Amino acid sequence: MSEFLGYLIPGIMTGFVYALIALGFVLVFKSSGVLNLAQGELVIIGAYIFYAVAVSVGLPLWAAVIATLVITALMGLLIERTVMRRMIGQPLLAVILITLAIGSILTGIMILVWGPATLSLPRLFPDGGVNLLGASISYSRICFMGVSLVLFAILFLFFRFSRMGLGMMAVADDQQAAQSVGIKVSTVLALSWAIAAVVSGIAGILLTSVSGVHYSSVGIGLSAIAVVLVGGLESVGGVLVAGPLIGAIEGIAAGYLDPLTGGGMAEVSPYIVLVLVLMIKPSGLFGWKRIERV
Amino acid sequence: MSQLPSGTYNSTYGQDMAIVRTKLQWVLLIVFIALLLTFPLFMAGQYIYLAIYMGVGVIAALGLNILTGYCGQISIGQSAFMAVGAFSAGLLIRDTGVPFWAAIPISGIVAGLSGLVFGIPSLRIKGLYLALATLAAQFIILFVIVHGFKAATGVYIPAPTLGGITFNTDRSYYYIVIVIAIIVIFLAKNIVRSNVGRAFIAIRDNDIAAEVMGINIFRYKLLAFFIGCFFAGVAGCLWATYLGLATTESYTLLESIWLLGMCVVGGLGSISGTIVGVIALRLIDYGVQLVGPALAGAIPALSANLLSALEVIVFGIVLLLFLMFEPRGLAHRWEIFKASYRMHPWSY
Repeated sequence: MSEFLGYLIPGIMTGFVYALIALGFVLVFKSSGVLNLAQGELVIIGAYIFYAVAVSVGLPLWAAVIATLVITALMGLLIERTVMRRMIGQPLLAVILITLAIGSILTGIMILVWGPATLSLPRLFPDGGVNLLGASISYSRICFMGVSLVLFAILFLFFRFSRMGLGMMAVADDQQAAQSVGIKVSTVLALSWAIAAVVSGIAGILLTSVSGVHYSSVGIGLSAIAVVLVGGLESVGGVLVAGPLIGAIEGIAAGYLDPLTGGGMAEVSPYIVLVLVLMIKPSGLFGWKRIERV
Repeated sequence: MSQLPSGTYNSTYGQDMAIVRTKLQWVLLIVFIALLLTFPLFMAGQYIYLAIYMGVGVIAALGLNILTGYCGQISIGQSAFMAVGAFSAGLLIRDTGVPFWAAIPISGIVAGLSGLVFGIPSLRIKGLYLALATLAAQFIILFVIVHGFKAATGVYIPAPTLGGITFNTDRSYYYIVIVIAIIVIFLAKNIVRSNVGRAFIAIRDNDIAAEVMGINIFRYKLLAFFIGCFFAGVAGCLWATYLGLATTESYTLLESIWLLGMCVVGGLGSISGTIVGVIALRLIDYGVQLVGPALAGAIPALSANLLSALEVIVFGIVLLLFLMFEPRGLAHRWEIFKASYRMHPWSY
């Protein structure tokens, strides 16, 4: 039992970070209908930027975090303003491919600037852990969950009460109607990219604070697509359920099946879940069913 | 296509359907094939390597273009199906002693069948969701190859032989690739202009309308997956045999994106465009490899990682610019040019 919990609980806690990455997907998809496959790169480049300001420049940690947030937000704005705005109304394949092209450029920048070495971030969380129901949980996992929940709470308040957040909800619901009541859709699209870049940057800092930063770990961000699909592509709340679920599945699959397959279950299990969801219920748990007419 | 050179008129159905329509086109085609066949005699080694690389790319990209460009089913996992072809060829040749020549179609069929597995969801889902299913296929297939078949270190493949000839040099292997590439181009061109190809185009343009017209969508979607992955399997088999080693490192997600990029740069839904796209992107890549070391010498601060970084950055920028400014690819540009010179003094 304690073995099971030892796989389950850290999985769930990491899953909250996946929910954060998935939130980036959902925000951009809801507002503009673009599935951003460069999300994995945004996650890792956020961690690299944190490394740059915290270690290379040597800012104190709190200042480094704020600087990272600002830089990633600017990066999101830049991507939206220079590339994605031109792609409005283009066919699906072109939009998917252009995010892949952006991802490719970002990967190149990461290789160029930081090279192939695995860089370790400054320690954010204390070592050690607590004993919970017989399973030992490290402090870093608890912080994963805590930071993600705080961020979700802030974003919830933002969407619920701020003028801009309400505008974003309106655009997600109906772009044309939102525009006709005076909401600037272009600002909303830019803002959704900025928020997506910021939350994925934070997720990147959290995930790589333990393992170190390397550009090949973009796969972590990409596997959060499984979270998005399980939760439903249009559902912000869905990712909060699906993230821990995928994290738990990943943790358990890695714990019990890795000895049989010789490793790799943690990386592949989200994709297996993804294919199963696509076959059984493509709209996910909380997504919208679409009815198409000719 | 709509424009024929001055003085040429179609008066029979055969003339209308002909791929090679005028005498000049015949001459150019024969000269081109003759050049291709004599290419290794007067070219240095690295260009022959490049030509083999392009030939394999053409086969895989044609499969992808039939699937994505003609049938409209976006696939982000083409290189994983190449890996299926590569490893099935490797395991067949190594463990069961099947000759290479039989392994080519068999590995194509195995890859095609694995493509069907991931094509079956296309009955219910399409567009974005299908793209994600093929993205998942990329990771699941490589996982199964590495962990299911315990092939993480790769499978060694001996050089193929025919009669008394062993195809173990670049020069000799070039002929295998070029002959198969020509056969595949011929097949692809004829698939897309037959009733099957027209069904694919109908499904791409509007699948519900296609179904109303009596096209069995599921059958044709699966057929498109099978053909696309069959070509990928053949390409994988050829590439692995050329390297002498089937290894998962050759068939990453980035390689799948490259193949999609080739189809876009060349022109989605164009056979000749695909060939041009593959050649253009491989040449750009080769150019980067030539320029990279010189550039690294000029900027010593970045020298260590410049080459590997430059490759992906240049590819990303080329793809980005094409998608933003010429999403219909080089094939469309060529059509515009051809129409304008045939019309020449009068532009209408």
